[in-house]
Amino acid sequence: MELDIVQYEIDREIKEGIDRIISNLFNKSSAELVLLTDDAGRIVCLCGDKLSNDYAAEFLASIISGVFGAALEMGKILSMEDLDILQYESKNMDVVIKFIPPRFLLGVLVRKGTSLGTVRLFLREASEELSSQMENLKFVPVKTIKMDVKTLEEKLNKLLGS
Amino acid sequence: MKLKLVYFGSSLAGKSTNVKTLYKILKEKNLVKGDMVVMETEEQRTLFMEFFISSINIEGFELELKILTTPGQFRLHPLRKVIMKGVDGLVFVVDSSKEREKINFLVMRETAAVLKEMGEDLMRFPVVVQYNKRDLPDAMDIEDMQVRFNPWATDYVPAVAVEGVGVLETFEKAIKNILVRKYARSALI
Repeated sequence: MELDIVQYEIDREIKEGIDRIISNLFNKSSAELVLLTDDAGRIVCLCGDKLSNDYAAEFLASIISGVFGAALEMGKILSMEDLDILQYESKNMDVVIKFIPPRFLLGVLVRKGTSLGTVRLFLREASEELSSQMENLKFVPVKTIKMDVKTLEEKLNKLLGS
Repeated sequence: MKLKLVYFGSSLAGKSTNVKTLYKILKEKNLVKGDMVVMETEEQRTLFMEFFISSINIEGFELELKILTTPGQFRLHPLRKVIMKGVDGLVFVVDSSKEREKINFLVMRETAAVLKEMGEDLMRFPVVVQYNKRDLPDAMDIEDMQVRFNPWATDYVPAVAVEGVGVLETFEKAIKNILVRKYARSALI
C-alpha cells in the first residue's frame, strides 16, 4: 500500500509572529543569544550568532530542555509546582530559561553585567506575547512523499547500508 | 523534519553501547552532525543523557534525528521521564540474559507508564525491540522473548551491539516505523 508521508511545519503567519517576538527580545535585552525550543529540545526559533554552527544550537536546545525538565522533576519532589524560571550564572555569562506554556522554553544568554532583573522583565513580556501566539499554534503540511513500506525500507537500506 | 529517537531498557542492557556504536558507523558514512554529547559518571554509567544528531535525506525529505539514551539505573528514573518528552520513536534494548528477564519486564512496564503520562500508548507507539547480547551462554530463546517483551508484535532485531551486530538494522527499522506510524497520512495511529 502506498503511503503519503507528510512533513509538517508551523503555520507561516504564526512563525513570523514568533520570530518577531524573539527578535524584539534579543534587541531589548542586549542578549548574545535567544533560543525558543519545545520541551523535547526541538528549536522553534533562534536569534544571535554566538554559536558557530546549527548543530551547536541543536545541542544547546536539547540540554536546555533536559536541565529544565530535570529542574521540574526536582520541583515535583520538593512540592515546587510553580517552577517557572531557571537561572545559571558564570564568570562571563548568565543564562535565564523561562517556561512558556504549554510546552516551550525560552532561553536568553547575556554578558555578565547585564541586569538580570531587566532581562527577566523582558522575558516575562515576551512570554505573554508568545503564549498568545502558541494558543493558535498549528502545523501545516509542507511536503509529501508517496512511497510504499517496501520501497521505504529499500531506500533506507541503500542509504544506511545495513 | 526533526525527529527524536530514544533508546530505553534496563541498566547495562547495552543502550549506550548501541548509541556509541551507531554514532561511529554513521560518522564514517558522513551522516552525523557534530560530536556526541556524553554525560556519564566516572564508572562510564550514563548519568543523564547521551545523544548525537544524524542527518539523512530520503527523496528530498531532510530528516534530522536526535538519538538519545535514557539512564538505566533505577535511581535516575526522574531523568528518564525528562528524556522521553516529545519522543517520536523508541528502541527497546532487551538484555537477552535469562537473569535479566524480570528487570527487562519492569522497565517495559515503567516506560508504558511514562508514555501514558505523556498521553501516548506504548502499544500503539513506534517501537523496535532489540534483543541484545545474543552471544551470552544463557541467552533466552527469541520466541520466548517475543512473548514476554514484544506484546505489540513490532519489528525486532537480534544483536550483539558491542560487536556492531544489529545496530544499524535497528536504527533503520526505527526510522521506518516512525515515518510509517507517525507521519504517514494514513498512519495507523
